Amino acid sequence: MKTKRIVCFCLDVSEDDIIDSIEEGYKDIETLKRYTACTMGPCQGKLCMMNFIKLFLKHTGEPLARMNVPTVRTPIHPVPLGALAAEDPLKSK
Amino acid sequence: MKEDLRLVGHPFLEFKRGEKISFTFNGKKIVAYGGETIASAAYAAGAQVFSRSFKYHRPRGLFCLRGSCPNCLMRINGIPHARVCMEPAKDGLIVKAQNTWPSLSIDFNRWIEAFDFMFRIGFQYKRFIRPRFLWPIIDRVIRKTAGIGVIPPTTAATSPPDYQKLSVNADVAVIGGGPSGMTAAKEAAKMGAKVLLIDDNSQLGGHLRLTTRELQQPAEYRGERAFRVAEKLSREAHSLGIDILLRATAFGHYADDKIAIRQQDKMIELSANRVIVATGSYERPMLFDNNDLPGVFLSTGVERLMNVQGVRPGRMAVVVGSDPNAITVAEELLDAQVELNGVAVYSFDTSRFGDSLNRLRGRGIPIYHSHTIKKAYGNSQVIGAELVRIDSGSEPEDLAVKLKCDLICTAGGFYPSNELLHQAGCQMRVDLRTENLIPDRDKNMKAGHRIFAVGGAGGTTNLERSLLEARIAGIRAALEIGKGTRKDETVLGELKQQLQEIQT
Repeated sequence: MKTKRIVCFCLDVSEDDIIDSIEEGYKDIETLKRYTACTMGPCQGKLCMMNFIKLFLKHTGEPLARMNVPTVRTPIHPVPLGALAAEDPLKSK
Repeated sequence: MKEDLRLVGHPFLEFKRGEKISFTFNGKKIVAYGGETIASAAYAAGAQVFSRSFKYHRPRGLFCLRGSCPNCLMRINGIPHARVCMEPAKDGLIVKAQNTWPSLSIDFNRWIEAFDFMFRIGFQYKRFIRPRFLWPIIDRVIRKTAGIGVIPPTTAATSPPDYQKLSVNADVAVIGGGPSGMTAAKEAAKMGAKVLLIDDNSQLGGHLRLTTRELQQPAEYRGERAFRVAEKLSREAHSLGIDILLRATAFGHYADDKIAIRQQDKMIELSANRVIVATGSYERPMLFDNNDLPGVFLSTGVERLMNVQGVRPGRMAVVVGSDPNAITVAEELLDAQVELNGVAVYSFDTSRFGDSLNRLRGRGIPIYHSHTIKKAYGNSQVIGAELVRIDSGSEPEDLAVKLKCDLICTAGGFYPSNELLHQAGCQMRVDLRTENLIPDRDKNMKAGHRIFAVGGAGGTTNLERSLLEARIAGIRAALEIGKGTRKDETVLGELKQQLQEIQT
């Protein structure tokens, strides 16, 4: 059992996982995110976004000045489907 | 064994505990008091493991204490995926773990990690696909094992509440009730604007509420303890006729600058003429071996547990960090009757903290300059930490310092909570000093946004600057919608001047 440094607590993505994925060829932050699923769990990047981005920059050689975050989508915090489906009682059908 | 880690005395803090109640935590009866969260009451009774991780079923404990991490996701009365660190303890609740069997302390699925070489990153895309005839069977097994538990059967108790949808209007909406948010809201309200202030916590106060440290600036607060300033600002905000929504989370920015907010069983569509984003910052976890062990806390997480909830977080702590909060938290731990086995600090100028460091040294606590943490020891709980020296520009030397502890507090720095700004199309630039993405003020001015960013959300870490930004935003927002007088314009000019002077 390998000792791990956990980056994405939600989905158990370790620092080595991210480095291995970049070496496999995922050198674009959007595809790296999708391949590893880092930042896509219940915390939506609250814990891991900065660590994820900094590891990406370090291991792809991208300069800090070009740092960017993968497209931020809603919801930024989990919301029950029931809440999204709620209807406004004052709005007429 | 009746363990109770609640703090009874404290040099500065008073813990107001309500009436005695009880709930069950994975079958164990937990005594709690009104005002506490499920997580803190369970922790006070000795609970360390609150969940098991998604893939490897590693034990996880309390970490952030504010709904930002997945570690405390549990099932309450059958309803899954509740963050028990944000849920108030109520009498009779049945709280259960989600994705572990047979218990939190023993999870049979931990075997997966023994074969982690077979389940490397991306395995679900590639491994086990051949031989083709076995794949459908293996696919079923993977799908059954993955996920965070089973959806409970629908009963009266587990039926979702009747969610209400409301459309809410405001002149000025302030997202985030910390010092910046409260300040901006107050200025706009004093000028007659209809102000809505929201915060996802159960109280206003933001990061000032967490700490007992004495503020050094701005001048009007010098020497006052942060939590008292938070209380003062909160009282003022409540007294000004501001519409305050607590336990309300803004989860998205939509077209026409509408903000979607979920507050318990209410789904709120907010339309405001001006929106001030004062959502603060997130604390960054540190990366080291076994950094996810129960007993490893974010520095602000341990502050919430001991200073807000009044629970002693451990017996013997090691504090490590590249952020000054490491020193603050070290002193706070002593006030919470936690012994310190060592404080490791690196990458920041410690000369400003001479008094604090001397106090710590005076208590016999070793300070390790230019040291960071390499490893946390322990199987399902922290039992020790290994520190190593950092030499500038090179790999950490193996001058390892091994320390016994049951608590590791990390202060890895903060970065802006700016998701709403990204969604609103805010142009960002990289602040090379803090290495964060912050709004490019020049570019955004031309775009004519209705959205302001103040404080930590905009990358400002200095409290005096944040409060000035907040006052400017509040006054400007109110002026832009037609409130206020010439006098307010003059004040605005003066504040902008002050901000300019501090920045140079």
